[in-house]
Amino acid sequence: MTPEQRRKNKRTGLIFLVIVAVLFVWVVVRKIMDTPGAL
Amino acid sequence: MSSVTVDQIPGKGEDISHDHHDDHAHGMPHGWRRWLFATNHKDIGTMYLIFAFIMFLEGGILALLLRSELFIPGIQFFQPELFNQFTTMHGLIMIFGAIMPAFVGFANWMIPLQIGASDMAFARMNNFSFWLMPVAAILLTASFFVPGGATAAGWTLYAPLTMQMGPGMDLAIFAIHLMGAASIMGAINIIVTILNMRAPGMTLMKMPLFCWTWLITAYLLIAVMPVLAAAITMILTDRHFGTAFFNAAAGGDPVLYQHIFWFFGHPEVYIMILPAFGIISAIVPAFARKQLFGYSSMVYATASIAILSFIVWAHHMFTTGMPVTAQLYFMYATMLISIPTGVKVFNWVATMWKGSMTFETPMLFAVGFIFVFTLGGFTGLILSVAPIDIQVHDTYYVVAHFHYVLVAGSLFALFAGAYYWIPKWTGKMYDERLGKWHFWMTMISFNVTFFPMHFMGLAGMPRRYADYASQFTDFHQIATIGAFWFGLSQLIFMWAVLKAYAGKGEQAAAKPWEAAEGLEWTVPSPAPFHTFETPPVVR
Repeated sequence: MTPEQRRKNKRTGLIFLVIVAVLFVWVVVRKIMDTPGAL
Repeated sequence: MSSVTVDQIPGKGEDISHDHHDDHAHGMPHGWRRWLFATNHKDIGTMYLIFAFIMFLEGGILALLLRSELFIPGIQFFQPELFNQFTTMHGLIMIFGAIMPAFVGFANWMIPLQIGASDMAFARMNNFSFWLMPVAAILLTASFFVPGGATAAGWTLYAPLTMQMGPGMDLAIFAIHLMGAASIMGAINIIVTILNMRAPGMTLMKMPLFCWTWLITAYLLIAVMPVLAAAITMILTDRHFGTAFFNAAAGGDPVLYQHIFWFFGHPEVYIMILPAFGIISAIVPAFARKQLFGYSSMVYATASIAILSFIVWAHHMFTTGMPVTAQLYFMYATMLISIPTGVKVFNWVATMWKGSMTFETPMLFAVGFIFVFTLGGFTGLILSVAPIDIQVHDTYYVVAHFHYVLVAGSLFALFAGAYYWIPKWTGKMYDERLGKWHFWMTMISFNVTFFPMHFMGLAGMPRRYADYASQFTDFHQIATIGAFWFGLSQLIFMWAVLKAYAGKGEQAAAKPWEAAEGLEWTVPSPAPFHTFETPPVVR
């Protein structure tokens, strides 16, 4: 694997990692907002 | 499938895969280091497959314990609390420990070989995501031995049951977090490998369908695994940190949990079946000696199923008291899924039509899959009808339905794929006689086990009960006999695989199946440690 290919892979992987993190936070925050007195 | 022909292979005449000579040149690791620090996609694939089979045996033993208890009415061996622990753990182990890792094992082995890549994009992350799995499995299994035992909340982990469990529930939550993290890492690895590392000329629409179905499955995993992680994190904070998301006693909403869970849970069903469709789409053309009928429609049907899977989740919740308009919406949306699924079944049958078919074991399992999975699909269609679902909700009819889809669907496809690619993995042909015995024993015993469950469900036998009214005795006894028969039949599979791995059997050619297509058949059997370090050019 060339260094350029490695960089490209890391970039693409990072995008999906961010999507995962955003989804997780979004679900929790939405449920906190939807459930009065949840916290 | 679009024809994939390797037009020009650099270094042709020597060996496109650099053969065994390079295994040594590249310092192929030996001993325990080879497995503990494995970064080679084939080694990691093998470990996933072995791990999945061990978990399949563990989940299977739990199923046999359940069936033993149900052989006659009354409580025989296990108190209902322990029975429910077995039920829950059987589900969790089979879904997260057996079926999903088995498909990841296939993905690791076959995707780089099928797209002409040298390995997965993130080899070390691949190792890490595999080794999370045994840790999670140990946590799950160990939860039987903590005070209060394992979680008995069902694989769906519904509130308020999750509030009432002992520390076994926390172990299960931690285990699911680990397995979820492993799945997310695996999914990112597969997406990046397929998007960035295909051989020159291997356009998306030339990819084998197994790669396509896995690409779409990986997107599903990315979308729903964080939702499951969020849901079980909220269970954890409800249990220990004083929040009240799902705890009705503290003002929370248990139905909210069901919505979040099934937003994960329904696509999860397709996560377990789409790669199976990919395997069947490789095998049927190979043994019908024809090109796959409707390659592009197969791709679009897979994508349609994946998209629809996000908008049907509440058909699992018809009995929670939702408005009629919502029931109608979820009913019709669910029925829509039968269209792309029907396209697939039609295409497989059309591929076989007027083909020169032979029935080696992979094809037997593939045809068995099409026949029996379609029955499971039809009962799914029946269950999508809200008024019927309300009648048979939480009965054995549902148990029959999802075992027709997950055993005759996912598991049969896994067996088909294993027999199809064992020559590539081991370099030896499996014992065809054993394979055929395995198929027929499995096929018959599967139906003996699960077909009577339709009748029991229609007559009102509820699922997850350790005891039952005596009118169900005959059907339960047939199901129990079938289950033990099914369990014993899997020893034939183990025997056939071990024989091939032990090097006993006929030497496999690079392409042991006359009409098989794809780059994996251009490398020798067994596939060398390093393959496609110089990418092939596909035209």
